[in-house]
Amino acid sequence: MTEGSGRRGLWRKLCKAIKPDWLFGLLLLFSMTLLVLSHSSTSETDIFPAPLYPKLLFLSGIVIFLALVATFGAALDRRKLDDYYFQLMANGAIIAVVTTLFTNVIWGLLDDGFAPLSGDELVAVLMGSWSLGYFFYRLRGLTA
Amino acid sequence: MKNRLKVLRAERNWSQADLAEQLKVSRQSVNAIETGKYDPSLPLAFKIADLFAMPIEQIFLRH
Repeated sequence: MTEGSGRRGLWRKLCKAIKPDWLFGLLLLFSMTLLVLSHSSTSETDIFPAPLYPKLLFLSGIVIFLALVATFGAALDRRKLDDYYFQLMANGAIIAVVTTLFTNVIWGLLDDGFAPLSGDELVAVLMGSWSLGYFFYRLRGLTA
Repeated sequence: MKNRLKVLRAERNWSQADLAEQLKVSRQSVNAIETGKYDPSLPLAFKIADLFAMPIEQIFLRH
């Protein structure tokens, strides 16, 4: 067995070992950790920081509620829209999420005098990359 | 996945819009299937097969 095929085999094993259920469970834990860390970093600069737990509970409630509404909305979209357009939108959304996450991380790493991205700016990045993702797949096709 | 949709449609003198109307999808969907930019969902593939009165595997080919 060559070194290249050995590496490929190891890579395949690694890919198989990463289960989506575990990955998305970790994402949930990661998001909670990020919220707590972000709260503790902002509360250092605030004179009267908002208490952590009520804020976390309120935010979790809103997120769970809106995620449910979005789930029902997406199910309705799937029924009413062409499957083709639904797939274009869904694939575009994946591009948007990944682009927004990486834009935020890279923006943080650059740290060359620009202010951190605000919530509105992140929404703008999300919407812009969703639109771009949609058109990329529209031109390239969903099977490429 | 390749398909014979364009040929089958041409044999019946249907435009993409005609076929789209019968399948209740957009013309862009039909165009995307014909140009290989989109593999239809299973329900749509069955609808296409029913419309042409052919088995799915005679319309959609593996390679």
